[in-house]
Amino acid sequence: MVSLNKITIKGFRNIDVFSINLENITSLLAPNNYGKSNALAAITFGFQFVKGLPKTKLMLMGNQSCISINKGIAGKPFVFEEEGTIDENTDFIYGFSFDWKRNRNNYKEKNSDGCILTEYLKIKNRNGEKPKYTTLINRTAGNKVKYKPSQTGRCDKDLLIESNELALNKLYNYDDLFYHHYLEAIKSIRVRGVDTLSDPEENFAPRLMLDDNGKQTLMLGSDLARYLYDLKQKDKDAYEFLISATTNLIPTIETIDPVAINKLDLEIDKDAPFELPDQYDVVVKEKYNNQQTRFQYLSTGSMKLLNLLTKVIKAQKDGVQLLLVEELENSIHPRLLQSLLSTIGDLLGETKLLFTSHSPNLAKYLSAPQLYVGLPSEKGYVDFRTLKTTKVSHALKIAAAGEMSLGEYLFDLMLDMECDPELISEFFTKS
Amino acid sequence: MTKKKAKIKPECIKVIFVEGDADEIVFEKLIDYYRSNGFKKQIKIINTHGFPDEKEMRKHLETIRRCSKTPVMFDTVVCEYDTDVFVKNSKQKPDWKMVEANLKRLFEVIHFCRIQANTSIEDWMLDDLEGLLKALCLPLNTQLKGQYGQDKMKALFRRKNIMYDRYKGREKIKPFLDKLDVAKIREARKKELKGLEKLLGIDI
Repeated sequence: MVSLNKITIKGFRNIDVFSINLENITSLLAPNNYGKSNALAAITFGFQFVKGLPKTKLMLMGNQSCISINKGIAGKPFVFEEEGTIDENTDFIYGFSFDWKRNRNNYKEKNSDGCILTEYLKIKNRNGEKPKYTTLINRTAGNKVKYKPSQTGRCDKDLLIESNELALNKLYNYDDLFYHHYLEAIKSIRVRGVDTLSDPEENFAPRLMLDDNGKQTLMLGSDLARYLYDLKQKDKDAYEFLISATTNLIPTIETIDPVAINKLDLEIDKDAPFELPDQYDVVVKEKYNNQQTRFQYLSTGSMKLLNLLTKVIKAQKDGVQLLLVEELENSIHPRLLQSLLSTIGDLLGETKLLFTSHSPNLAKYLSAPQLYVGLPSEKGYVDFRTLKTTKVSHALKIAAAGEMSLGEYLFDLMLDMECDPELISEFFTKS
Repeated sequence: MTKKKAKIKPECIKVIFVEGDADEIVFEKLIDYYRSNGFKKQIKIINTHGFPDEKEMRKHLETIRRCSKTPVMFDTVVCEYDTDVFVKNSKQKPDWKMVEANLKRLFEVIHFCRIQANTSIEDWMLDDLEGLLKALCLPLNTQLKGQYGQDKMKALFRRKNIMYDRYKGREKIKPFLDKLDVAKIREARKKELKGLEKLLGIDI
């Protein structure tokens, strides 16, 4: 399975440079209105761009909600780079950049507006005699793309390409290319977001509404209930493990059962080729109740937990490489966070998790490489950095002196820190 | 002449701090084992649901002292913790001499000792692997997967679709851990338990 190890992004909303090494679980800690969501949105945007058709790419290059309006970086091109491993022995680096499409006449016009500027793909086989990166795709000036056509050849064969087209996508159509499987692997990388902020009920329970005649009508909207139902039928082990994980975190829940319901009683012709699917719901039995209830009777926190854990196991089973979660701690009490992190870690499998947080209660359970803190920036840029490895033991000592964990200390440091470049470069890695 | 108040004899308390549900279950079983071999004194096991650092211990000792109806005296305070937290570099090793001195100064603790579960309490449980595999109804030749004890336990429980949670999994894991042979674990961990047994006067 392809694994993502590092992502670098430039020129997106208030992001000048954002670079992150991905652990199994990695966090972005910052105060409100700092740019945590922008970092996640930039990642989603980058992968969406890789997958998008040329027409979609044009639209994305003109997406005004993503273009930076920060005075210091306005007009800078979008730069995206991903690093990872394709199989046990092969590392890759793939990246591209483009110029945003401008819409102001008085702006100094550039021919590259809405055009892809650079693109590269480098592969390294760790088993080779002298492992080093080999360039397979190299685009240095807009439409001039060179690629490596054969094992022995150099990366010097011209590729005709449109300005809104990625060479990765075009070369993918060349079935006989010796690195076709690498292109396929990189194209297949999946990044998925989990919304923990909206009402979890919407993801599970079909809602009964009163129609004009006062009769109950079933509303759609039960994707996760259906997913749970299917999981129970098709992969009982995974289903039971998910339920064990959930009931461990919420011990008052005894059972969780996805059920198929069909209250609509739709008439169907005998010879109809398809039948509309049943509706699904989730019913739970709580320890102190005398009967099962629908999922929506649970507390918001419990609903959010089941929603989150179901999406984590779904991501793992779908082979998603990176799961993005906003405010993981949302609606969850602090004592549960340690177990939640451990549980998610067990459910993730090969999938990696990147989440945002502004909770020291969560940060305290993370180790140094898992903690990216948002440092103050005079220009309002996002500046997420992690501790230098040489400074970890130093920071641990300071934290211990204040009877804190490393995460809590970094959280405090982040909030108390003035914009002091010397102090920042003393403790933190370069962004 | 006013009558002198009779001095109430302080209640003598022995406390073992443990860092999670799994540790709590193991130490409950261990104390039961000591009892079955003649140990009679009361011991309080306090689960701190995380590393039992000085701050945590102070909080709990203060609560006991303030909530007790009679004066209390902390005869023995034992701190049990897993060392994996230091291996994974997320916590600084406490200055244990300082911790001991502070507890003795603030709470008049008479005896203080530490029990290091190296690298975690799960490694202790795996000392009775046969018992654990039987409890989980797994074949006795089941291979262990994972680097640390906790990973190995998680992998074993995963085979039965059970989430193993050392911090908050009491209800789920207790039925299985109850079947462990604690005498076997004690035998394998004699060195680590030496300090505790000396303080409790265990001589089996």
